[in-house]
Amino acid sequence: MTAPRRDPHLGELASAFADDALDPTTRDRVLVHLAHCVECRAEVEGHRQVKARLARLAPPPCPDSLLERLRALPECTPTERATPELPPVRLEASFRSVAPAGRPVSGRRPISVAPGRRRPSGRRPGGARPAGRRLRRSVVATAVGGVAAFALSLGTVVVLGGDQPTSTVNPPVLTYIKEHGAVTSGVPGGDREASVVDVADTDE
Amino acid sequence: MKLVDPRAGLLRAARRLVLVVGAGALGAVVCSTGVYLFVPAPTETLGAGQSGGSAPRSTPFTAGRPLGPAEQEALRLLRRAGRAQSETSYQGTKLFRSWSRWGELTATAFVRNVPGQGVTVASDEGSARSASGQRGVQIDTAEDSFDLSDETLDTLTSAYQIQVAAAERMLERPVTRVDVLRLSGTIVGRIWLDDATGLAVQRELLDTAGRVIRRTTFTGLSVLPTTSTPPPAAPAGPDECAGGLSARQLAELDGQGWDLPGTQLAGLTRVCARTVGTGADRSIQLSYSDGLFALSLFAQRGRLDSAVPGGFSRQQVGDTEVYLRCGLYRELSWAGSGMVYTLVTDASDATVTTVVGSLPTVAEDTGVLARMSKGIRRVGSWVDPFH
Repeated sequence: MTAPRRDPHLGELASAFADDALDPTTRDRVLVHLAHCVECRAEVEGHRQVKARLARLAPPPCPDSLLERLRALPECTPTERATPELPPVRLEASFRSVAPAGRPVSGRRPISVAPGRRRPSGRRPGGARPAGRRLRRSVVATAVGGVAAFALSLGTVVVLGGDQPTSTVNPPVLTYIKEHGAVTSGVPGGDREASVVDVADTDE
Repeated sequence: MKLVDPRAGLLRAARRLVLVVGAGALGAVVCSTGVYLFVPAPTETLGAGQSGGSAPRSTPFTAGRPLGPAEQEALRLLRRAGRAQSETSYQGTKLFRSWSRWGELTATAFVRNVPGQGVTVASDEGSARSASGQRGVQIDTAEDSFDLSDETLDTLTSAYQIQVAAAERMLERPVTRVDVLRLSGTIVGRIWLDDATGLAVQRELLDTAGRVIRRTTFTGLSVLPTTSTPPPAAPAGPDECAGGLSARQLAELDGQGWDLPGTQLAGLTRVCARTVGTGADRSIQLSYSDGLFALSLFAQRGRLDSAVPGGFSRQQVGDTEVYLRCGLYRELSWAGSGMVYTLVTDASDATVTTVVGSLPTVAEDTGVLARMSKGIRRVGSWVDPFH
């Protein structure tokens, strides 16, 4: 039976170690690994040099108005005050390959972050989201919007197909009686006089 | 510090909006096309007493059966009665009575006829509904167009038998009674003709049960001396249907959604179709006759005012609620499918019920698919106003 291949080196833990962002237990294990691994020592040294160089850079110019606004901010936001203390996030180290035998191994990426630390350990460089998730969100938004537009179009058609407001009609019955008499006077005995009398009787 | 270009976000949102709206509109177009193709337009259902098609008034009426000598004699008397209007000067008091199951009315009027000058009709005291009892007030002058046309008599003899019934006396004058019978032999009308002048001095109409539903009679008649030579008789069949609508115009109205009956209605034949009024008051008048009874149906677009007009009452005729008034005519208004109909007739209650039950001919479909179909056609008419 062959054990799965694992990364024998620190990987991202090297950066966290250089930032001094590891909990004491993980840090001890990293130190043990560094004692035997030249490559990882070099990588950690490289991270430290980059950090030192960045620290020596002059701060970017900041507009006075921004400084004023920043000074005007309260020390902590209401959201932070309301946020309870979170338990420490346990992230398993990738150097588990170098951990003592018999320790359970997880495929997940490794790192433990001490409470209070804000190390964005699981994020991709630059904070970019995975392309698959972005595509999925786009598809869902398109589908929802399409269905909404579809429903809106059909609703408009149904509303347009309803009864249109029509004018109220009050039939001019007296006029109608006269017109009836005028057109149908040719019946035997003559009935046009009746239409005249009927209109006069109604008028009174 | 990371700077984000706001235009990029806007462009992305715009692209997404176009995509979403386009997808929805495409779906709606596909669905609408399906409804347009597969949901039929509202179709007419012919009601009782109505037949499709239309014919102009000039279509000659055909006397469908040969007349025997007795009917020829009765027809001669009726033709003489028609000519008497334009040959005899007279005046007198005339009584008008009308009965129906919804009410009855009696009215009287003073009538004076002078050939060449027309007929003057004045209201008279004694009218059952007259509040003022005014006498001698001229209310209208009718033109001398009372001739019985050959067309009218052809219609009469097509639908009914006529016969000389008896010699009688009325108003101290010898008269001859002409009976009008259904082809089944029951009497539907009686006309009393003055032997000396040929004038019709009384007329009665009866329903199928033999009850008199209308009577017009002189209660006093004076024949005046003729002072001048009467003008020549008007040509037969004066065109009272001035401004009549042609069959094509009626078809166009049908296409515009006017729900109108055809050439036959409740057994009567259309004798005139014309427009009354203009603009919002525009009505279509369709008059029908069988030579004895006559009815006029006036159609308007719109919905009936909920306020009951003065003199009318709300009644139920068949399954339809109508505004009804029993004057000398049966006068009814009712509404349906965007149309308002008003009926003026001297025909029987059964005929009235038949007419009301047969209109509108199109039952309104309020289903979702029907509404969609109408909506799509309405949108289509915006694009193509001639469709």
